[in-house]
Amino acid sequence: MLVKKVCMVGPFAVGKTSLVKRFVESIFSDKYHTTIGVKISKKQIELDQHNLQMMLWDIEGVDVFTELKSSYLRGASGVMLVIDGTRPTTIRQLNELLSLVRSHLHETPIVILANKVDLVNEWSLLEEDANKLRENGLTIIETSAKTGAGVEEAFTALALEMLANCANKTS
Amino acid sequence: MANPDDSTNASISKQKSDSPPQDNDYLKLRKLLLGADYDSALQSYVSKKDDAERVASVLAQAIRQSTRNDPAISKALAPLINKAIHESTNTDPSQFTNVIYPILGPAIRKSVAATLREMVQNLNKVLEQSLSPKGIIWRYRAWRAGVSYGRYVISQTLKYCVEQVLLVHRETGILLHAVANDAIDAKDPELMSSMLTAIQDFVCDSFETESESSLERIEMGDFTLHIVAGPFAIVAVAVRGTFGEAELAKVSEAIELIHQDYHQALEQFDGNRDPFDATDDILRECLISEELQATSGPKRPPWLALIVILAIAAVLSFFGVREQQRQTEFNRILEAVEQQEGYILLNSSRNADTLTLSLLKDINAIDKNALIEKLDARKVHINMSMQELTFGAIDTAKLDALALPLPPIKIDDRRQYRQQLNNINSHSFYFELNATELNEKELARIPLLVNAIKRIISLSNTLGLDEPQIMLLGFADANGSSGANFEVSRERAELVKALLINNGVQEKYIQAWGMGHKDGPLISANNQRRVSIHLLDQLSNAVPEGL
Repeated sequence: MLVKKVCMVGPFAVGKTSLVKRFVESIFSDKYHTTIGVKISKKQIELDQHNLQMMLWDIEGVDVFTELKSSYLRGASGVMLVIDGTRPTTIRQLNELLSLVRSHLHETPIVILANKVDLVNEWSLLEEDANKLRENGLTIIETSAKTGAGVEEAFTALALEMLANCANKTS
Repeated sequence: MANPDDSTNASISKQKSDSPPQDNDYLKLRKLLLGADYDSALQSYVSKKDDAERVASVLAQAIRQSTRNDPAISKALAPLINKAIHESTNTDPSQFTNVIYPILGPAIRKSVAATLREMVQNLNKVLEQSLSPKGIIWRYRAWRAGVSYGRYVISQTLKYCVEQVLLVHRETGILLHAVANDAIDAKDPELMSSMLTAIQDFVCDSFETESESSLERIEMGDFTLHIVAGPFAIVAVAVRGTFGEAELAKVSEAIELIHQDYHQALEQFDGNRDPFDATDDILRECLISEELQATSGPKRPPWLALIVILAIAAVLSFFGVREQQRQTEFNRILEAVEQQEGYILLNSSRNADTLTLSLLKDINAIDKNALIEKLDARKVHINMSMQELTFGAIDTAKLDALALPLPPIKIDDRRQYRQQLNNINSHSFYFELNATELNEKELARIPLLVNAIKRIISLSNTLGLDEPQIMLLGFADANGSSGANFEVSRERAELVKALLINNGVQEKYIQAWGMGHKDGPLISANNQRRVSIHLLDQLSNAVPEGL
């Protein structure tokens, strides 16, 4: 069995903890609890005959008062960069966070999650912005921790990228 | 084939001719010093064989000295020895078995003795801690503190106890391997190791310490997490109690050894933890504990445990003796019943102190209460179920057959023979419609017949007569075809034959025949379905009748 460290990174209140809860425990709660420091969970999945255990580091959200603690990223094999598709400010923070993560983890797979896709009327992520990210080789997946839409797919996509990255390093 | 010595000599001569004049001087000097031994000394210097001999002569001493100075040689030799043992057992396991056989017996005995000693000590400790006032106070305090009693006892009796040892990859925080004390209910070590790394990262980030430095200790009450870091991995030791420097040194040795043996696996760690399963032994060496020194005087013998063991032994002995007495009493009663005139013991069973007897009783035998009184059963209860046999008009011959053994009637053997003969010939077993099995009432008469047959065999022998031949004739009623009647009558006769044999009559004395339907209308259908017994009166044929 392979064990990989995965970091959940993103602005505050975008739903990182809810996504982890949905993925690990298949539950969702409307109540908002801000994460202080980091919260760690684990989930085992089977992919391409590989047994993979993901150690999920749910890192506290970034805002004007709290910057991302880079030491939490150390040794990560994959990063989930989460934004809130209904909040344009989080979309604007994306590039800044991307470059910060890239500066510490050069070749680590990153999957971008545009969360809260269930709030259709408030959705403000433009298709052309998403396409731009895809053109830069990034995977962007629309998710909803509330309904579970896209959550499994997002983690599976990251797991596949991590396994491919691991195979490349070995070869 | 060229001689290797020749080639050596040739090379030496070549050296001689090609060497500059200065070398020749050295050669001359060597020859002067060593004389005739020069060539052999040179050869032994260039020969590998001599190297081996030289090393062999000092190898044992070198290993001894190396072991004294540096224990690392044992670790270096360990894989080689393991491989050699593996090879040896694969090639010829019996050789290895023969070597260890003399050690196994004493080792097992020693181990059993040590286990028993430890068990008595532990029992004593448990009793002291559970039943003593101190134990009760500890239980109360454990309840007040909200911890389990076991954990509280450990905290009170041990100076320190290592509950868990984690080997954690330093960069990723991923748990590489973990071991835990069996007595402790360990939480998920994977989450613990990641969280520990996160705490370290938090401290490094928050207080801007050097990233290479590491947390060394986290304390909470009497619980301490000691962290010993290496370049690629850390060992975290969860300790309850006071951990000294000597114990920490042991943990440091473990992390050094792991880095030495698994350096490459640690450096190139990609999430595969399998190689680190082999660190189990190293980590287990850190699972240590030390008991608090006893505060009062020399170690006392385990009186409490001995008293409890003696008490258990006394109780077991009491019940054992009581059971033995009961069994003796049961055996005495059964023997007495079997010898009691007028009673036949059909079955007996026992349950605790109650003996249940199933009996056949002669109508003239002593009654049940008199029998119980006669048996004089003091330590057991007797339940009797009995069937009293009545044969209508009292006939001495029938009475004789009922009484087992026969009452001591003062008549001669000939008369007894005649009585038994009449008794046997008067027997018939009756069957229900279409049945080839006897009902219970009829079955109960089988032992009487068996007894009479045995008696007449004995009397025939005493009187010097031929051995008796008993004929069992099976009959059927008028219903059914003659073929079916013949078959059913044969089965009835064979059944009675089998019953007699099963009850101890030898087969040679019995002949069984199916007669079919033979009776006339004067005999009722119920009496027609029977097996009748016929025995020839050999006494009449042998001597003139004197009775």
